[in-house]
Amino acid sequence: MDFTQYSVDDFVVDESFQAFVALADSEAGRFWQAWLSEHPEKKAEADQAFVLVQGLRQARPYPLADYLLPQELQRLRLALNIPAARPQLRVQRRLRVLTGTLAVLLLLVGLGWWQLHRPAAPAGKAARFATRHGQQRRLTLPDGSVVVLNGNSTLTTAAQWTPASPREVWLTGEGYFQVTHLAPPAVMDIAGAPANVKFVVHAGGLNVAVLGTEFNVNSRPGSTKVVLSSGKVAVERQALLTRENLLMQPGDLVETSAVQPGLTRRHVRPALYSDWTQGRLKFDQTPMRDVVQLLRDSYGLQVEVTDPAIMRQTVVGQVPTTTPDVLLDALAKSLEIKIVRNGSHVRFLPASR
Amino acid sequence: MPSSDATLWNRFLAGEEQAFEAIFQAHYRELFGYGLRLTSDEELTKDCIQNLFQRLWHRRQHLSAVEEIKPYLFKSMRHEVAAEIKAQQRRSLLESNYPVEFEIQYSPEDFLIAQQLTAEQHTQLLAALGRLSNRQREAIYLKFFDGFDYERISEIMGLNQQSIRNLVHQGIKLLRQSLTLPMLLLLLSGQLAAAFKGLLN
Repeated sequence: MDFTQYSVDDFVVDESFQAFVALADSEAGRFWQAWLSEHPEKKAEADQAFVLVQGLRQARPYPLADYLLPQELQRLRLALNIPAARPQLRVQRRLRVLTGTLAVLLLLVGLGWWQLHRPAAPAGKAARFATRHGQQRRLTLPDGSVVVLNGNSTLTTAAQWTPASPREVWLTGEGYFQVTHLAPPAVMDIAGAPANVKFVVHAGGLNVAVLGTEFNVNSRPGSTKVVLSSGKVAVERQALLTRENLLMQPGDLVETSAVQPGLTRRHVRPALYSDWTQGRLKFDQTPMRDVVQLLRDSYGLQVEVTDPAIMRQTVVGQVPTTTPDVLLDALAKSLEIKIVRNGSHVRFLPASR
Repeated sequence: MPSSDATLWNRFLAGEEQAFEAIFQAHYRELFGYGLRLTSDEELTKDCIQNLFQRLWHRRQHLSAVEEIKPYLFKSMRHEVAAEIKAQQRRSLLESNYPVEFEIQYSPEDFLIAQQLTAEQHTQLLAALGRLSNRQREAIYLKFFDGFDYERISEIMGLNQQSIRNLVHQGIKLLRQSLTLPMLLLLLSGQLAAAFKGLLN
């Protein structure tokens, strides 16, 4: 081959020249060194090519946190039911025997109690996904459903879902669910649907059953809220002796709280409650009433508004959802009011003149 | 004689968990880097690697022998990411009404940046890389950073070898046009200069 016609680019893309850059003491390396000493007129081009190949080879690898690989390996083992090591297996077996015995004992305590005690976590192997404060995670479940976990939240699922059982997950914190529809189109009735096409979220005393839809569940200490974006959702609350059922429509927010345990329902703008999955809140002529409600629902803030005129305003714009302070700041500026925050208590005051 | 990759792969196909985990551990870092370059979404990348390996394990009885594991995993990873992005876009398409591109974004951010550059050089190189197309960037990265040959890159990206050669060639040409000669000479620093000097003497 006639390399005397080579341009800089030709040198760069030549695999044998690349091998020379990688290792001078290789077959290709020795060839190019000999060739270049015979063709000094090509030195300038070869120089440039060498520098570029060398520069491109030295790219910075992406940083990988030390904990990540072991954590992800463990996650894989859990999902595939691969035991980590033998000793651990024995411990797990013993634990299972112990929990089994406990379960039997509990059964004997009384049927009434047993009825109340819905499982707080999945039986058998579980996969657990958690987020730190301010972190968001997007999970794909074995059935293809997607969950976006908000900060400081945990989602537990059975490690494997069999086609015969309902899909069940346990949530603390906040998650946005996009559930894959498994039922044939004819099945529209959640209560009457066969167990194996149902998807059930257990959160803060509520069982949220769906067939396939999008909704947000926010379960923080003191209260649990479900907001339905699309589709149909059946919410069930079990208390000591009662059982409450409610069928939600898109745009509904259903809440239960320590103060008012009974299910309450009101209409909201569902987009406001799922915007956090995009890392921002978007207001489009949104009434302040809705914003105040959002501050209470999503951030747990108690809002006191002294001037009713404030509530009649609307807001336009976008803010990041990192902390409520950013939102409060933006509100104060755009409404030209004063906002005083004291812990979880917030007061909206007319700007003093 | 089969390569060590081929032997390890066969042990995994035979259902040996240790071999499977060894493959996971040996390739996690580079798959993570590749996924981030394709999506710039850490969680999505982690999920895609999980899905990829879960699928491998479940389908091991239907998989065939491979000579080299890394290009096989890269190819599968690319499929996984593309499928996931497509699914996401389909979902967002349902919500909004405007059309979206089904294309992997190959991020120029922070990639291909040699470690010992000044801020100014860094900026200039980033800008130069930003002028390349997604595919040109990806081909150049797989070529120079991951060190695949043209044949493997063509398997990973699902294009014929000549197209890959063209992508790399065009990419290099554009890159050189955007970088000034002083910039190229500045790249020549430290150990690089020493190595270079030794070669030309």
